[in-house]
Amino acid sequence: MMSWIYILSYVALIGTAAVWLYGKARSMSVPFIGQGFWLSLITYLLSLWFGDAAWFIKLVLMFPLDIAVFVIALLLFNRFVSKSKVLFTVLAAVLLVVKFFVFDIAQKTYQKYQTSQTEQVSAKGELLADMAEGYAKAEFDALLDKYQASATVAFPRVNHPDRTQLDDYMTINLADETAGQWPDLMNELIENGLVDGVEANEVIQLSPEESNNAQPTAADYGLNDPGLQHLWGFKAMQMEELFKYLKDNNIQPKKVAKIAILDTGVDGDHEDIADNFISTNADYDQDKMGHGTHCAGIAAAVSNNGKGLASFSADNAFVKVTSIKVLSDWGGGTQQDVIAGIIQAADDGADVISMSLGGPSDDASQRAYTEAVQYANKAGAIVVVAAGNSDDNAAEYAPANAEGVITVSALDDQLRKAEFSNYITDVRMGIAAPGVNIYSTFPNNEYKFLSGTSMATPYVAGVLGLMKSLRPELTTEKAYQMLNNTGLSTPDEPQTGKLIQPAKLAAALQQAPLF
Amino acid sequence: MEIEGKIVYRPEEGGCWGIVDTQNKKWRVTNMPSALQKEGLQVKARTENVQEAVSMFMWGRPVRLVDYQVV
Repeated sequence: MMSWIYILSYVALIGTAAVWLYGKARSMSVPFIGQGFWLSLITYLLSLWFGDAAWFIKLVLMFPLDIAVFVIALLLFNRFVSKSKVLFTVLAAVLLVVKFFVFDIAQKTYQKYQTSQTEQVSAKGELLADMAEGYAKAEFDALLDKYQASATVAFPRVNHPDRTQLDDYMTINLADETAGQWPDLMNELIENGLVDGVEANEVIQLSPEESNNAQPTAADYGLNDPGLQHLWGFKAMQMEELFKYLKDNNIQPKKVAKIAILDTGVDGDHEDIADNFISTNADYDQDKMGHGTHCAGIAAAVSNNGKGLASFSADNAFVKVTSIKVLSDWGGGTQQDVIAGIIQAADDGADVISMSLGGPSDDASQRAYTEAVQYANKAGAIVVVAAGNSDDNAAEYAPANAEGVITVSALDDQLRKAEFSNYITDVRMGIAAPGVNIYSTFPNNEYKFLSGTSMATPYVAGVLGLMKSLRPELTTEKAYQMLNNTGLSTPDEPQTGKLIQPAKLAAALQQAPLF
Repeated sequence: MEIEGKIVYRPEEGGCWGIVDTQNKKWRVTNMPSALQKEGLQVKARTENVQEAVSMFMWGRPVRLVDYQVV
């Protein structure tokens, strides 16, 4: 549509200027020709500005060529207006052919070149299309048939479709035979008004290593938990290597480690938690908010039970999980409640204390938390805390900034810092784990996707539980040193710390000398 | 305390509402009325502190809304 306005306005621009010259040569007054010229000029400039061509094309090729053609056409007209009109007509036609045909080919060639240089299309889904509202489905389906393509909803798990357009997106996959024709399909989708926008589903390569985009299946891990297909983090953490290592080497725990989830409570009867759950107090074993239950599932869901997800061992022999409720049913709490919870967990023999909570810090709160953490450390517990979700410095949040805690930032599925995650640059022991779109348990045998450093934290708590079961004497300092030494470097490592790698950690732990 | 800024929704941890003020400070409103639950809305609000030093949201400083005016 915009291209037709551009062509018409440009022709009108030349036409009105020519008529004005003609009138001037004949000393005639042509009504409204001035207004027509200015209207054409404004329309032309707007159509050029909002046109689809790249800015490089517009500024370096289209606009200078337009000016040149305009000037030459008028000079010719002025020269021949009183002589050979036939010659002028021929020359003007030649100029317009050059402008709209030859140049158009050059432009398309350039754009194709650009596309081939910059876009590597995903083998999984070649195009990502924002479908137009009320698009003609029959026409869309016919186009898919023509290119032997199929379409699926790109983001099926948008919880709040009223806040985003992402629920309109479709991923379009082309057959191997037609995969190279994706630019043509893209053009047809646009020209037929089926999409508001469409783009190549680009492959983003973070490093020479393989992409982590492929969805894992339960079979990949030798487990039967159906929800494993949702756990992109398992692939990023190479969990299949962990399960293989534990099995192949017949690794047995020295003790069953206890992970305490200090949160909104935990639904201890959940089908995918119950067998790994130990009750500290019946009042803590309910969860109206769901947050604590979600965290508990990440750290210690029952693996290989045909339900939900899995955690850090296939046979569930290494860790148990318990709940200490320190947050209200609305998700808030006081520092006093949290410190009381740390103390209770330590006194009850927790090996790992996981706290997916926090708030802005001051000196007094940092000191108080540090005291409590030291108490827990002395009792043999390792304390893990979420970095926070404000895209701020974790050193300004408590208890993330307390001495003696391991502070956890969140990564997204491209292994970049989650946009919300606080950065751990200024805390002493920072590490990273998956924290975006994390699938886990929710009260009443439900499951849900949540995002936050809260979700990253129990991943670290889970692997620390495994470590403590293998080496009960493990201290926080030594545990962090090993997490860091075996962790995977990621693009935002200075802000996030390394991504935990449980298999490497388990192997290193078995080979490490006695602490 | 007076806060002037725009309403934001943070989806992490199940979601919470807050205000980002003109100095870019983040305030999590524990009782955001439904009338204000529109992202980008400019408000002037009178707030009071709440006894909630920590939360699962870990976003902004928690406050309770006492009175407000849409700007």
